[in-house]
Amino acid sequence: MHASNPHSQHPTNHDQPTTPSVLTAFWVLVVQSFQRHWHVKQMGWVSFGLLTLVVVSVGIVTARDRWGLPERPVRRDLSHRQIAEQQLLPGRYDTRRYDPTGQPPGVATITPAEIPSPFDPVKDGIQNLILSIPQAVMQSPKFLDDWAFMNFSRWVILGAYFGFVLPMFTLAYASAAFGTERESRSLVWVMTRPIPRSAIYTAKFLGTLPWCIVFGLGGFVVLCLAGGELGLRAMKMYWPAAVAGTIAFSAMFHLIGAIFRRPVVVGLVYVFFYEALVAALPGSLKLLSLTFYARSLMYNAATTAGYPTNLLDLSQPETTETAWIVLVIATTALTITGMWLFSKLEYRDDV
Amino acid sequence: MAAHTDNLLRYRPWRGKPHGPLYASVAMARVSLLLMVRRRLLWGLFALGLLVFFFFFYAQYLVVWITNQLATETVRFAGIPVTIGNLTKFFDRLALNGTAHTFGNFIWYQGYVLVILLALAGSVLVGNDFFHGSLPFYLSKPIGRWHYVLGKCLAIGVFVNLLVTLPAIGLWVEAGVLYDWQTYYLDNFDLLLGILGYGLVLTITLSLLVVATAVWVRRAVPMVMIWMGLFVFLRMLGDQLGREVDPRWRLIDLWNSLYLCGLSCLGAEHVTIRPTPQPEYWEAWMMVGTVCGVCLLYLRRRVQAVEIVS
Amino acid sequence: MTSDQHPMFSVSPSGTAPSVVARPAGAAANQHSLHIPHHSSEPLLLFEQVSKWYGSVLALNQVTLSLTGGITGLVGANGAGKSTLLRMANGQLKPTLGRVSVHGIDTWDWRARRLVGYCPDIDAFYEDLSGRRFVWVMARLCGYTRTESTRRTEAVLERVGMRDRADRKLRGYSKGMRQRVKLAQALLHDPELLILDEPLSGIDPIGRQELLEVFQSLAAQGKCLLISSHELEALEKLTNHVAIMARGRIAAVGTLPQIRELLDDHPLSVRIDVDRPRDLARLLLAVPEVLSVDIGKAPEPIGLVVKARHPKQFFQTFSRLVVEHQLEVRRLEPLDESVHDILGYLLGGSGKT
Repeated sequence: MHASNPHSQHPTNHDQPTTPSVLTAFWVLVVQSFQRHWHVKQMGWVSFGLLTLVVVSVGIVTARDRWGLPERPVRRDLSHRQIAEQQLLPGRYDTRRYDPTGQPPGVATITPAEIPSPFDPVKDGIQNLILSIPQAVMQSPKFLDDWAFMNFSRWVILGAYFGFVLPMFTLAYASAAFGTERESRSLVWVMTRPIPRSAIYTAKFLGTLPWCIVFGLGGFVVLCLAGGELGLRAMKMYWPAAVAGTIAFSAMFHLIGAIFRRPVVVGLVYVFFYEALVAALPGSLKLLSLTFYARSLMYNAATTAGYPTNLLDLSQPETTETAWIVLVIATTALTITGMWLFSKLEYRDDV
Repeated sequence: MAAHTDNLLRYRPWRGKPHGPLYASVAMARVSLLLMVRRRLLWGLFALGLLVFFFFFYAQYLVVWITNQLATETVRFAGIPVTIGNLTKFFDRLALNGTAHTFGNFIWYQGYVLVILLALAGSVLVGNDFFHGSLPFYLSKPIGRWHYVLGKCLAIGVFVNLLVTLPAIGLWVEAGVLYDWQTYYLDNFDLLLGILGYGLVLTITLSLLVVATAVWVRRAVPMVMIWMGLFVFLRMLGDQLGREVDPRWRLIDLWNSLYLCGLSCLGAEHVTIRPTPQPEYWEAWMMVGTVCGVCLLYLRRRVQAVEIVS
Repeated sequence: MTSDQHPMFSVSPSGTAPSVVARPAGAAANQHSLHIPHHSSEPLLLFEQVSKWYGSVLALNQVTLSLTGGITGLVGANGAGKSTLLRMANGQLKPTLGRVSVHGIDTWDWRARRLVGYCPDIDAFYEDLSGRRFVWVMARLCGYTRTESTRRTEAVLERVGMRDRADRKLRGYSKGMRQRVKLAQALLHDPELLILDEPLSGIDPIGRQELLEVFQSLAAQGKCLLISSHELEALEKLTNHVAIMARGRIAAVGTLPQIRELLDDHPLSVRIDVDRPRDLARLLLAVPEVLSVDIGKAPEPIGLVVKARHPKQFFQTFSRLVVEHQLEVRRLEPLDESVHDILGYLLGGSGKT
């Protein structure tokens, strides 16, 4: 035995041995797992690139003013606005339109139904009434504005954001909390520290959450900004739904990342087969999907603000209170389940 | 009695002749296939692909059967008489009549399954070699690095052709049996060549793309995201810009460009392609060629200095 | 011949040497356990009838083991269950049956990890950190304050001889440096029990000697070390107390001389297929170590089952006989595999007698 070793600075020899605190370890782990994501720069770039693509796509539509009804094509090369213009009264009674040969360009041919019949005032009246509906509709700024807003809500917020951006980013970051460590086999360093396993799970979640929020909510904000004035309005109205959705999804994917060996595959199947299909079905199975409650929040916010929400295609939405309660409970339950499962499961790097 | 064990234990050198390094590529492809076959997800996606095939297979049969047997008859739907011919109108969009568009459409729809499969296969086939350090094992054999790339491309090619070309040929054979087979096979032999051409284009482009993206990002999540960007977002963007600005924007949708190349192999008339307007065939070829070229250049750069990082 | 519950060869502690006992009841105060300040009545690390299945594979089979202090070597072939045993001692794995505890605390409990330092066999780090930063983060994760972590980091780096070269990124470290960093992080919280999984693999001879000295100084401080290796030679320099694992069991526990002695007294059965069995039987019966010889039954009269003592001498004599009488031996197979494995270790070679 070499008792006379020259290294006398071992911790034991210190005068005041400080007792380690689990709480300190917990917060250090939170910070550490937050920092781990910095090092996966590639992931950040890929997310950034995808987000740019979506934003450019939305931006083009906004720049060309295509969210509203007027510029929306009815048939090829003919938008709602052009049809309505053709049906303006001066045009209807333009005598030139009766001339089958010298038809000026840009004026639609008059149909037999449009020919006024002075001897049948009832028929004439009804015809005028019917024909004036699109006209009146196209003149109503409230309707046009509402329509444009709901169209934006439906395609950008519901479709692009809740359908793609949010699940993709939360999946990428939340499942990576354990996924990357397991892939690089470095989980053992955390697991051998004197921290309860359930605390490891929670700390990892808290460390990952900022990333999910930055990219989840950041994506929301950027998409809304790309939508111009409509987008700003949507942002003010839907941000609670986006926050709730982000946190709930993060909890879900964190759990998936902790339990499954291939969290990405499981996560993708969950998002695109379960959430996308089940939440859209009219039955009661949708009550089991997270997006349904986020959509309910959106729906209620829009309804309260007086928008025609039928465009959102949501049957039997839950009330705002229920949706909030369910989302909060789901997040908590997912986290507690994860903590419980994580403290039961053992991790083997070699198998 | 002497025990002549020394005769048995003597070292005997192997007297065979080693094959060239190209055989190593084939072996590597075989190993890669085994790796993929072990994944349950692969079988799920294959089942999905088979579903698409059977849909086309039976729909093609149904269309012929209905036209021959029942076209003039009517059935009553909620008391309204409907000609059976009208009921199959919905199939017309898929052009299930053994023409160039039948096979083009089939491959177009099969593409959804194919793209998902390849996005997930990339990290299994290539990314894991980097991650788990199996690359040195391959590269320590007397083969060049291009042989490694070739081996992986071959494996991916097998998947592409199993999922796309083979079923399409099945549909061609079926179409011949459904119509007058003597004339159909003779008259439409160029369609068979077209299917093979489409398959070849897909094989080359997609395998290079898979290997290049997988070498670049390695891990499954970013790989899936990149493919999603390529085949979903660029598509949305290309569709939008193609409709409103210039049909050439559709070229950035790689699957559409490949579709155009395939249809030009199949000899379809350009005007019959939906959705309209579409860029010209030669533009699509240029685009696909550029993608392949970029992938090759990137691989060349990586192959020259393969870092072996565990 | 082997009981299902206990190591085949158990060595009860004598006054001087062993710190390893086969049964908890046998734990008596000895030289090493005197260094342990408290809990001296109960063993530090205790395995109670522990079994572990991986699916249908039995990795550990009814292992009972207790450690009280000093250095214990754990040897065994690849796949004998060493790593599984060590990971259980550290709470990375849960036993399927039985219980593993440190000072009475179940190792799955996080509090047990305060008492245990673990140096894993896997070679994976946060590669982008520097060695110093890595150890510091590990100290922080133990729950120490910043200053305390810095102090401990410097102390352990000094101890493993890495203090002056710990600022490079871990990615560029040599195998030996990585082993040292792994050892450093295990020492951070000054644990009573150190579990080292293959700490000597991949280290050059000079570095190995340095690490051996570190281990010895740790043992002199009263730490209990459990060190696994598949080379008995490396451990022999360090300690006399070994546990030999074979096929998921603790096949023998004790000091090397004791194990050798026990093994010599233990009759060994060997099956020998030879061209002239009766000639060989006659020759063997004249050998003093041989207890009995059975000749195979009629259809295949080429096999002999020989029971012998003192295997080393027996095999030497046997080899001489074979050469002298030019016998053609077709097969030589010990019938008891555990003994076979132990022999493999004690006699040198790769486990093939």
